[in-house]
Amino acid sequence: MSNQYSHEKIIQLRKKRSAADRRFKTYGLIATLMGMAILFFLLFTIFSKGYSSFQKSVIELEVSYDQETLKITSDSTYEEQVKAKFFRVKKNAIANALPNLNKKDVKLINKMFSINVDKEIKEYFLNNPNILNTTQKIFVTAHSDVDQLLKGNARRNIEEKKRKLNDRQLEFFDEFVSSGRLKTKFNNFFFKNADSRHPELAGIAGSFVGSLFTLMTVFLLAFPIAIGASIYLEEFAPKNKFTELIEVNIANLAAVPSIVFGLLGLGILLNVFGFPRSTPLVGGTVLALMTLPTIIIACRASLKAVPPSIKEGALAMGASKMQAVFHHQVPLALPGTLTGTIIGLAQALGETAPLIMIGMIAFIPNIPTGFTEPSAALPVQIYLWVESSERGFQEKTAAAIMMILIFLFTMNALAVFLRSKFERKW
Amino acid sequence: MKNIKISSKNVNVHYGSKQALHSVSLDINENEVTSLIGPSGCGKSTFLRCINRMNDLIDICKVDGSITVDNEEIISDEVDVVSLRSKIGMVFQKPNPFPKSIFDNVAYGPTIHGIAESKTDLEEIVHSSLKRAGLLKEVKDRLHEPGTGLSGGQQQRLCIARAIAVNPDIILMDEPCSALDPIATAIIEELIDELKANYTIVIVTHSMQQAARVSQRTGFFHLGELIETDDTQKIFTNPDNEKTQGYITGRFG
Amino acid sequence: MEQDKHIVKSYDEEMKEINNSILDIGSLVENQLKDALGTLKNQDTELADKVIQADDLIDEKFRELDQKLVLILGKRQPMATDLRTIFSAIKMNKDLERLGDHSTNIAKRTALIELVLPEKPVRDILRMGEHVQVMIAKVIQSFVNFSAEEAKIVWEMDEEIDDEYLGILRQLLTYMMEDPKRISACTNLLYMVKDLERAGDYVQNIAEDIYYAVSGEPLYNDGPDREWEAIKPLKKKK
Repeated sequence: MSNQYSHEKIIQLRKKRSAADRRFKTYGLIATLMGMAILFFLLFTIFSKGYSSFQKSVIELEVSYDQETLKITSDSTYEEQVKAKFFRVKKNAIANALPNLNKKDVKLINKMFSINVDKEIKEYFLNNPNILNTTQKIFVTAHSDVDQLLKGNARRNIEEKKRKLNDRQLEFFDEFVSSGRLKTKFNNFFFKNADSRHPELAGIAGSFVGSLFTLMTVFLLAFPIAIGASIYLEEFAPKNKFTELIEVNIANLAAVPSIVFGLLGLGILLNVFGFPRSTPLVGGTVLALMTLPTIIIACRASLKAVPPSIKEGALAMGASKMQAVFHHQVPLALPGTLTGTIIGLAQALGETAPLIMIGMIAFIPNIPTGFTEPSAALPVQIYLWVESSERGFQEKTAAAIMMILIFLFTMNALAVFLRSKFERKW
Repeated sequence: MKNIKISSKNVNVHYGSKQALHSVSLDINENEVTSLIGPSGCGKSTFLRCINRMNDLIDICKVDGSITVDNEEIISDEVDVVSLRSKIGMVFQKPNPFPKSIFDNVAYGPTIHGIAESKTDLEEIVHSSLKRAGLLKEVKDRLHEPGTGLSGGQQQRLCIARAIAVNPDIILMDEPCSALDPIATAIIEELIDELKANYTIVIVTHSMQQAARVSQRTGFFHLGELIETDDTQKIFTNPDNEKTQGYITGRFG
Repeated sequence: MEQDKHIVKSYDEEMKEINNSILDIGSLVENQLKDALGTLKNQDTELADKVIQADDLIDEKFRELDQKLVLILGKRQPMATDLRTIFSAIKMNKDLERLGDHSTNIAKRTALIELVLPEKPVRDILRMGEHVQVMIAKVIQSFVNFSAEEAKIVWEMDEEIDDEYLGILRQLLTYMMEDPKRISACTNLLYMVKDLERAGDYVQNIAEDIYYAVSGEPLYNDGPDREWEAIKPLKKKK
């Protein structure tokens, strides 16, 4: 009886197999490259739109701090200095910003400065009261319209009616630019300030801290509960229909749309329990409920993955079940659990819908200092800025997205670090 | 005449509807090595695990009959399994040191049972356990390195040290040398020889030659029944039962 | 030799080879004694030469079997019945070889004697020799049948051989005392009958080995040492 496969056929089959191998590898490579290309494209778009946010436009002003206008003396106390008439000083400074300005011009030029200029002039003095009766050249923040024009986001060569700055203001603009008195500086407001109605002053500090507090709440609530639940369900709960039902429901919970959790927060936490609205406490609680299933699933999988021989060894030595689980199984399940937790937290960081429902969409112009203070959150902030009609907020939106991505990236790096630190070989 | 340390009468074990042990009655003498031999699946490991109630970990496993240790019944709901297991140490087929340092591995038992009264006490216990297990010389300079970094034979000796650190009366060994090379096996067999002066040892082995070398009494199991128990010497020169003879001479598996 | 088969076939084959080797040597030894007695009967020096040469063959076969037994011992680590069988085979091998040696001695001595031998003692010796031959045949049979009972019967037969030996011993002593001229011939016969008695002892050993292999029990000799019993009166005569 001859061999079923002749020698040539075997060689042919082998060639086909290696060809299939190569094709599959090529497809994989192409897919990876495409993915990377899209990713880079995305990052590039965001970056190019957002980087201008890190600059703000400033105009140089000559400010005369004469005591007559300020109505203080060199002996004045700090309280008196605070109450000094800086508004007048500012008015004078602006009126003298350019030569030959008539009343109408002054009004127009005034609109080119940020409303924050008063404060800036005042702060400059208070930091160094010795400049009383001197004239200082300081750079003060320009208005958003000027800012956007300088950055090239707004167009000049369109009808005057369609522009924010009229022709006369454009003259002043060009004058400032050519004399070097209008330029861009690093925008510390973006990082220091909370939200504002004025784009040039708006920053993410408020929403960042809000998100931070919210995430802390999520972690402090979800992590212990999830771990406890996983350990109980995996190791201690009796295996009957009831526990099976719980398991199925946990898996289902992971798929529930986040807005449903928002409704839960609104309906129960706010209306029934009377939690303070718009606070990280409520936001965190709602998001914690949302993140629980993710952490539970990750933790249970990690617990299951620990080889039973380790636990058996502990039990055989007379360890109680609790000791065997907590001394041996849980530490080995930690890396996987942490990964799941960080994934859950990263998800929670980006959730918008539930936060909107519980009111974290309000306009909060200050940085929150506690868990029970009303605050915004990063994703909600992005949403608010996108919705805004002011052009100045557009670049801020992209910048805020960059900040979220950096936040997520840092969290993932932390996850990798923690994982490798706790990873133990068994 | 030796004391009987462990006595079992009519022990039956069921895994669900399948019966794994049929009415096993076997006495184990104190300070002696008793080996349990038999083909795979004959129930010898199941019987071993009854002694320290490790079968409790398997939900569908049901044990009935009587097993007494030092004349106290252990198959009973009132028995504190945790303290029973501190009197009975177990060494498994595949060495399973905890993923901790060598020191912590051995110190675990004394720590959870509160045996050590001070830090120096604990160090003393760890050192003497490692010494009795014949491992101290090889590891005394690296007690804080992970136990999983040792070779197979060393890991198994670490597991033995860990077991004797809580000062049990009885040590159960489930095919302790299966995963080891001949030299490591010889070292463990030598250790068993030394340990029997102070402990009662029950060892499950699938090698009749090993049983002949290390044990004084041997029980032959087949399909869940205890076929023959006798002095090891008698079993390996002239067993009474045909089935025993057939198994140890390699005439059937 | 054995009922059930080993799982490893080559083990069975090796045991079979050992079995056959023992039978081979056994039959060679049987012939050896037969021929040795023949040389005594006819004072046949040619036959004596044949016997002497045959001893070399027995030695060779002994060494071969010895080697096989060492190998099977190390390789198979035999247990229980296999262990006893192989242990007994090792002893039987040696015993057969010694048995052959004693038969050869008889032939050698006959070749050396150029004397006339007294008829009656020679007849008695030949009869004793026949009995030893029967023992050998029976022990080989008990080996083939692997029977402890048959082996025991052979074992007990040595008592008769010992009795016959004592009788011939006394006879020869009497002859020598009656006529000192007979001393030379009788001394040689004395050595030969001693060889025969030793041969009987070795067959008894072989029977013991077979008995142990089959039953796992040793056979003990509890009675008084009859040889020394016989000489005691001679010693006291002074």
